[in-house]
Amino acid sequence: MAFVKKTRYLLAPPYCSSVETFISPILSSPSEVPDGLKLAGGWRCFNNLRVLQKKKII
Amino acid sequence: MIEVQISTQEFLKAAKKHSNTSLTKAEFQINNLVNIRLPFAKLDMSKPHIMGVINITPDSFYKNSQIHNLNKLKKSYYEMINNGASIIDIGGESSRPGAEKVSIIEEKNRVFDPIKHLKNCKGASLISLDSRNLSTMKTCHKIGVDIFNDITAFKERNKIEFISKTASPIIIMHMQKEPKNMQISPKYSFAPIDIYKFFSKKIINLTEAGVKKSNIVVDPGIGFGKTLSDNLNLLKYLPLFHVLGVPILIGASRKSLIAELTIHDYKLRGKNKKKIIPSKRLSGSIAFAIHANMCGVQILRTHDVFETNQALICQKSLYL
Repeated sequence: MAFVKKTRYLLAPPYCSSVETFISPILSSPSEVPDGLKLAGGWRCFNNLRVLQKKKII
Repeated sequence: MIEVQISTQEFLKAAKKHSNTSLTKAEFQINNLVNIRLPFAKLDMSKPHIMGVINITPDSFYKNSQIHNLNKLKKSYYEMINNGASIIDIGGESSRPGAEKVSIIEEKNRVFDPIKHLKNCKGASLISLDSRNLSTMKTCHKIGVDIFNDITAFKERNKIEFISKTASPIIIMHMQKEPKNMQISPKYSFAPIDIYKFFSKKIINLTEAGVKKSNIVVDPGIGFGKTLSDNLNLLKYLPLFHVLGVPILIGASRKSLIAELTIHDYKLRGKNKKKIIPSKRLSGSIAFAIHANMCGVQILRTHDVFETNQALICQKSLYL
């Protein structure tokens, strides 16, 4: 199973040809991030993302 | 695999700096997160919904969910609706680990009368059929089933043709192998990403075959061909699935991961506990339902409608 290492920098630019890029919103309540984006028009909001990157096997 | 926490703006900036193609992809993904979900089976997807479970089976893993006569069925149904369920999920074949397939005739015999009976009840809620058999789906469509919930994610072409033709709302679940052997060495490189990719392809296949995207809900299938670690990773990375642009359903109710976690805790404290039976897994179920709600999951599948709804009400009063 893959091990997820938390780092400060991206492996490569998002969606470039050498990596696979996936995003996951970091969710909060609307009162915690009043300027945040609304998730799917629902009850949770986000400003930040978890970006997962994996080197492509060529 | 690496994980970086970054603001949405910084992410878009990094994509733009690289290329227009990267920026287009990044914007597409963010839009999928933000876009309002259309109603699913006429249910407003901007708020959470509870799906109550009724099993017309003699062998489902949680005995209290098994119902064998119409009076008890009606009582459970009204209790679930009154306690806050928007959908009632009815199944005639157990999909617990190790379960053998039942014949289609047997499955139909189990679910036909109960569904027909409930569809004639006053104040009817939505009924979903939990089945992997096309023939059962066709029979139940005739008596007014609203949603089809398939643990095999509509793998066969003829099932896709049926749901496309009838424009039926569907729930597609991820499962590795079959219930009979799904817990024998399940393997993923990283379950959340593998399952995300599975759904991405599946949604494309379905929409190309004429299924409306607004008629699709995804269920990552907690406990279906997954180890404890796979299940926990799925729950941790649940918001990832919103990028698919469709509502999410989670069913962790009374499942064995709750027992595994509890037994592990006993072990850490030097105590011996070999078994936590499904009737002792309510608190864990509620904890995972609350977590799923915090992750913006639109449908919570549960055996305990009253308790789950009460937990959501209390949580909402503080945080949402």
